[in-house]
Amino acid sequence: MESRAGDVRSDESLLRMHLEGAADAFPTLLGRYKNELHGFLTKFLGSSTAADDVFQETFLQVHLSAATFDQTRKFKPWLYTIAANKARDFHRKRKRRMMASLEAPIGKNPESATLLDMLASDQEQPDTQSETADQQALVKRVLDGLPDHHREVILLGYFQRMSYQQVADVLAIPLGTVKSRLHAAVALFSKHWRKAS
Amino acid sequence: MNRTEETNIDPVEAEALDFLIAAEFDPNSVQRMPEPLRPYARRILTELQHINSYPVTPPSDALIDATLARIVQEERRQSERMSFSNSPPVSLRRRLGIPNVVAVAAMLIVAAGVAVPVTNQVRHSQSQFMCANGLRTLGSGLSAYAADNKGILPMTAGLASFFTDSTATDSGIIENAQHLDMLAKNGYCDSKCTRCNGTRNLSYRIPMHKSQMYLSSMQRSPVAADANPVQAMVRRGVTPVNFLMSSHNHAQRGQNVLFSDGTVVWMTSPNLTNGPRGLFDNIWVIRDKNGVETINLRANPRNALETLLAN
Repeated sequence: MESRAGDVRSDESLLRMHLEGAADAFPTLLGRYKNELHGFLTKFLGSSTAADDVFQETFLQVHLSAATFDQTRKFKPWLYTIAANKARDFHRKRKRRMMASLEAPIGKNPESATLLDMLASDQEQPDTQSETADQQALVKRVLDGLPDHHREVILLGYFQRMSYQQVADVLAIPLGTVKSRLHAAVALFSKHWRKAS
Repeated sequence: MNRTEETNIDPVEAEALDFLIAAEFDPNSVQRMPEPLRPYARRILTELQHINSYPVTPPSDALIDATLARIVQEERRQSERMSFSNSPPVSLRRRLGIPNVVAVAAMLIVAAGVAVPVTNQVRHSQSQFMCANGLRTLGSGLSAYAADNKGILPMTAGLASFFTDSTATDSGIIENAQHLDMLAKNGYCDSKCTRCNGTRNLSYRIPMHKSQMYLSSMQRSPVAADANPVQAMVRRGVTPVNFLMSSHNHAQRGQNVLFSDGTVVWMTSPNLTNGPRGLFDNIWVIRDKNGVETINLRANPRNALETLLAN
């Protein structure tokens, strides 16, 4: 169920079959997007646990709104629109709950360690860390450190290989805004990356 | 604010990025760009490629079950919210007026008519996936048991018990799938793993050949599944016209089948399409040496790969 191999049904027809009562349609759709969407959400939210939560929220919304889906359109951009909205909501709620940013430096020195650095990591232990793990940690820090609106356009544009128009549709913002945001996001990522590495 | 100020990106670099976006970041597309853009495009690609090493742990299979369970939970909550008193306060009725109340009631009935079938099917899906999870646990239990017992699977009742009548259990004969209960009793899996969703019966393989007793050396083939519907009918005194039916555990929509490699597959037909000699192998019945599917216990199975799962 993980891939489309052997199942030629399109996403759109699966959603229609789900509405018509086919029991396996929705789980198939879930399985099809499990890794891809979860990966996108993990990068967007910076946490696999948060991604689990938002993934469920997203498909709950897909189920609840399935009847309103325009069958002449593609399912994937619609799914990512819902996912991006749910991820933004999650961010907003999380920020409200947080009194201090985990990325804020401890003490007055802006170069000092952050609260995030002090948290237990779910990565490998230092004695088994390889260069790859260091690189992964660095990429995570730089990407997670980008503002939300920059991170989301990079993820959609670069990771999901969406066109400017598709990103604009997903985020419901003007095409020009998408362009300028992506330009800014790439510039910011490059700047932070060079600084960090 | 103009683009250059906001992005702090060189206009040529911005143009290179536009090209890359249009080409879905294909590295080969750089060669198709105007010469002045290429160094910028290469640099952007090199830097963005670092993002590929962002650490991502693939989600567990339980995520799908959890999502389906959440949908069912939400549907229940909504239906509770939708239920309203048959006697609304008089003031509300007066405020809305009878035509409006009738219109709202009609809308609620239509909404319920749409929601109920969808909820039912999600509930079916949830039941199906919970059952599959149970079978996966059973698979781990069987594997652990076999590892402790020279690769041998728990014993089975043998063919003699297959079509005994329903009083057999009362008379002291243990039904085939009940042999799985010893896995739970000995701590190889929890007490619910030998039932579909903790309540419905399962079927367990009766070996047609001694090689089928050894989990380690067995070819990938079914070991357990939802309850055998053919056997259930025969025990009720009804001989099925054909054996192509699905288990009653999931309203005959299909059955979960645990294979010897630990995988669980949802099969909408009991036929294994990869049966030996290109023939289908119905997991509920025996195919005899003449290639005929039968419930005749005296039939000799056509070969050592024949599968029979019995309740």
